[in-house]
This record gives sequence, structure tokens and C-alpha cells, in this order.
Amino acid sequence: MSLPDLSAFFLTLKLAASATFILLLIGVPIAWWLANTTSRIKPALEALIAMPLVLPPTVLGFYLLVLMNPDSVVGAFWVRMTGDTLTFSFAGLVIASVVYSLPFMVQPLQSAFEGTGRAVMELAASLRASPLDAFFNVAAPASFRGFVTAIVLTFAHTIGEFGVVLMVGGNIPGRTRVISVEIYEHVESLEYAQAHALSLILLVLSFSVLLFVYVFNRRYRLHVD
Amino acid sequence: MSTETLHIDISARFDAFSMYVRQDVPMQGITAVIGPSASGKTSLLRTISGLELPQSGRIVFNGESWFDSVARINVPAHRRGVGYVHQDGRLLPHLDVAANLDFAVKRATGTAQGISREELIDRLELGDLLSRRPARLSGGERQRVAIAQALLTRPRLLLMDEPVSALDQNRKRVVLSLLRQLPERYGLPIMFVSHSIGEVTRIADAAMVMGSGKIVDSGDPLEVLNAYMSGDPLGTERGVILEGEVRQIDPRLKLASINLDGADIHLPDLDGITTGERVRLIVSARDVAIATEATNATSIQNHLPSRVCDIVDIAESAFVDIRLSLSNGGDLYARITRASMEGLGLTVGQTVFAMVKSARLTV
Repeated sequence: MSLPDLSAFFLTLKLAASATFILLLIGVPIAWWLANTTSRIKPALEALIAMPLVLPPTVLGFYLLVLMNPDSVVGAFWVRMTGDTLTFSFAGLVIASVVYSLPFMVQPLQSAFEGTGRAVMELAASLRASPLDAFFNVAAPASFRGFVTAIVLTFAHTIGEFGVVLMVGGNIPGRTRVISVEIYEHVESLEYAQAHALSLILLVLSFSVLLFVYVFNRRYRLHVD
Repeated sequence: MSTETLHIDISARFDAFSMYVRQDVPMQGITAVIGPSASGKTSLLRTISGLELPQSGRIVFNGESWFDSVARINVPAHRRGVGYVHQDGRLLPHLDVAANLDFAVKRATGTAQGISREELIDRLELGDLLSRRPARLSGGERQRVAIAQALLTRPRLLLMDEPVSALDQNRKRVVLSLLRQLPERYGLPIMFVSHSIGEVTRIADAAMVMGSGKIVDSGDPLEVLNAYMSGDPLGTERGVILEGEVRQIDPRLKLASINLDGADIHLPDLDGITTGERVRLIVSARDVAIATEATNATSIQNHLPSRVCDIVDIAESAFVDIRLSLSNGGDLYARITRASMEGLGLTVGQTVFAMVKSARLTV
């Protein structure tokens, strides 16, 4: 079994890390808002965020491709700002991954924030904590488990994406060829040994991540109750 | 409007009911808020603290507007400086007891002197709990920690919602006597919601009664509480609160003699009181019997000459409550069976003896 090219592997990690970081910035306020709002548009927003869970990745990828096309408003704006296209670029992949993995960040955080509860936030206010103080020193630490779950799942899910990446990023080595695309490529070329090696890496990685999440949740729960 | 006042004039609507409160609460001492459940006591405290928003009106604390619907003022809860001990004894779940207390200490503001962390740990007996998380505390332990935590923020006003409901009798006594000292020692006004007449009688300097989202009575605690108890339609808790001075304590007989406006009564088991102290006693209707003539042929020691001034029928039961007016002016209730009443031929205006079997020190 020959050693596979690891550039796809590192590109994948870079993509997952970037998407997770951006999603943390976007997802936390969205999850906080959803956990606390009484607005009537809440269910609509929740449905929208959950869409990537049910839509075929090709559908999502197709619309993102249309949106990022240099002829479209968004795509053209990006070209003007950066000189590069969104389609078939790393930046485009990151944006697509952010959309694709949004529910994996928002949903665990939202339920963690809801679990912290209004009662505890009221207590924080009675103890003279400002809303920001209460968020960082009460809601966030009390939701620690939710944060770990959200980050790990988002990261893992981004590593595993295929359809969206292929639609938006294509298959450019070193630029948009992530590990899942590379596996597909090997299989197409009947290079089963390389496909095996990469698949095994993903398999072990995914299992370890999920094992970590479940073990961690169990241990933390025991500690709190 | 005096400056030492919490001026409340609000109308608020919640899920199940509406609240209209117009009241000046003295911002000194302990003001008890009593009333049946779902009468709005908790909602009132939540509104004062800023956790609930009234529809309209004003809340002015010592001249400072906290809420004013016309001037569009709404000071958020964390800037009102109101300490709040919640009914459920809630604490910050992710921190142990010591860190819960420190959270409050770090956010305390103002130059006002406050009770220290050490004293609270000592008096509320929190020493053994410091490294425990809230999930591992009993209801009573949580309440004690919650009281300490609220005090450590150095509040300008302390709101307490059934704060000692889960404590055993001894601890309740200790905590109430601590609370009793706070207004004087630190100039801290307290509003204390309770359904327990005993607790309220013990500590209140003023009392308010809520019913269906309104204040229905307020003023001197003894008057308010006595009116509240006699107004109880079921008469379940009927009795009176009397205030008196401890004249002497006989250590051999374990009997305290207490002077109630002229009449002495002798009561057992009143531990913790000292000679000369003024105490409030609850004399429950169940603990008072009636004799129509003076007699020593009874085990009951306290025979107080009095006059029958009212007979209150308790529907659907074998009992009646006789309201007796003591010769020195106070009132008592005696609960006897209708059969006894007819057997003794009691009528309004008749002179009798109230036989007081026991009384509770009000905890």
C-alpha cells in the first residue's frame, strides 16, 4: 500500500478549522438569540438553519454555486474585493462549509443555552451581573458541554462533507481537493489501496471524535448531577 | 413622598392575572408581604427587582426612578442593586458554594458596610458546604447559601421570597434572628414574602396583605396579621398574635411568665427567650378553652377573665370559634365544639374565663 498524498488531508483540516472558527463567531449569537427569543419568526429561522440536515448536498452546492458565480452579485463583488473567484477557491469552500455545518454548531449550543435557563440568568442579574458579564461568566461556562459538542461535531461534519465541496470547489489539487474528494478520485481511477488508506483515516478519526463527545458528555453529566 | 420609601404605583399583566399595586413601602426594617398563594406576592417582588416589566406606572426607590412608563425609564435589574432570594433557592449551577459566594463578592458595589463573607459562613453554617456544587445541596442548604449570596452583593434593598421555607425549626430561628439584625446594623430594608404567619410575626416591622393582585391591607404587623387571621374564611389558622414582655423565667418548672398588657400568662418550653425581652406570641384558637366560672380543678394554668364578644360558626364542622375580649383589651379566639357551646349556654356578652393551654413563640 503506497503512502497517499497528505496535502488533501491537511487541506481538509485547514478547511474544517476555518469553518468551525467562523461558525463559532456566527453560531453563538444565533443560538443565544434562538434560546431566548419569543419572536414569531423563531420557528422559521430554526427550519432554515436545519435545512442542510435534510437537503441533498448537491442541492445546497448547486445554489451556492449559482450564488458564488462571478457573474452573480455576490460572486462579482468578491472578485472585485479580492481578485479571486469564490467558486473553485478555498474561500468559497469555507463559506459553503459554514452554511453546510451551521446546524451542527447552532443546535447543540441552543439546547445548552436553553438548559441553562431563564432562572439562572435572572439570578445573575440579581447578583448585579450585566447581560454581557452574565453571558461570559454564567451562560457560557454553564453551557461548556454544549460548546464542546458543537465544536467537535462541526469540525467532524466539515471534514466529512463531499457533495457541497465538489459542486462549489471542484477538484483542484492543493486548493480545493479535500480528503473526501480525493477518495472519490482514487476510486474512480481504481486506486483502491490509496482509497482504503484515506478512508481508514477518516473512519478512525470520525469514530474517535464521536467517542470523545459521548464519553465527555457522560462524564461531565455525572459530575454535575 | 418621604425619601426613605419605595413608591410603587403600577399596573401589570401576566399570563394568568393582572396586578394593580399602589403602595408606599417604608424602606427601613422588615416589611412582610403575606396573602394566599397566587395572589401576586412573587410577581410583586419580581416587578420591584426589574425581572418583570409592568404595563404602566412608576417604581421609585428613595427618590430614584427605577421604572416610569411616562418618562420611559426602566433601570435594568442588574443596576437596581436589589438583592433577591428566590423561592427555589436557585444558585449558579456550574460553581461550587465558595465560588457562588465569590461571584457575589466580586460584583458588590457601593461604599455601604455589609455583612462579611466570614460572618455569613459562620452564622449560616456554610463551612462544610463550600466545596459542594448546588446539585449536591438539600433544599434547606441551598436557601442558606442563596441568602448569603444575596447579602454579599451589598444590596440596597433585599427581596426575599419564602427564603426559609425549607429550613428546619432550629435553623429557621437562627436565620430569622440574623435577618432581624440586618436593617439596623446595615441600614438594609427587607421585603419578606411568606405564607407562614409564624415567620412574619417573628420579624416584621410592617406588613402588607395581597389578594388577587392588589394590596388589600397594610400597616402595623400585629393589627394587619390579626385582621388577616380573623378574616380567614375557613378559620384553619385562626388565632391571635399578642405582644408581651417576659417577666420571669422559672428554671425549675421550665415556665416563663409573660405579661400581656396586664394579664400574666405562664408558658412552657419557650427556649431562647430572656427576661425583659418583648416577644410576640401566637395563641391559636385550638389551644384556648372556656370555663364559665373560676376553677382550679383543671390542669390548665392560665385563666384569663374575659367576655364573649362574638360567636363564629365554622360551616360543615362540629366547631365554633368564640371571640373573647380580655379584660385588659386584647382579643383571643377559643375553638370549642358546638355541643360544648350549647351545654355551657354561651351567649354574646357573657363573662367567662379563657383557659390558655399553650402558645407558640412565633417561629
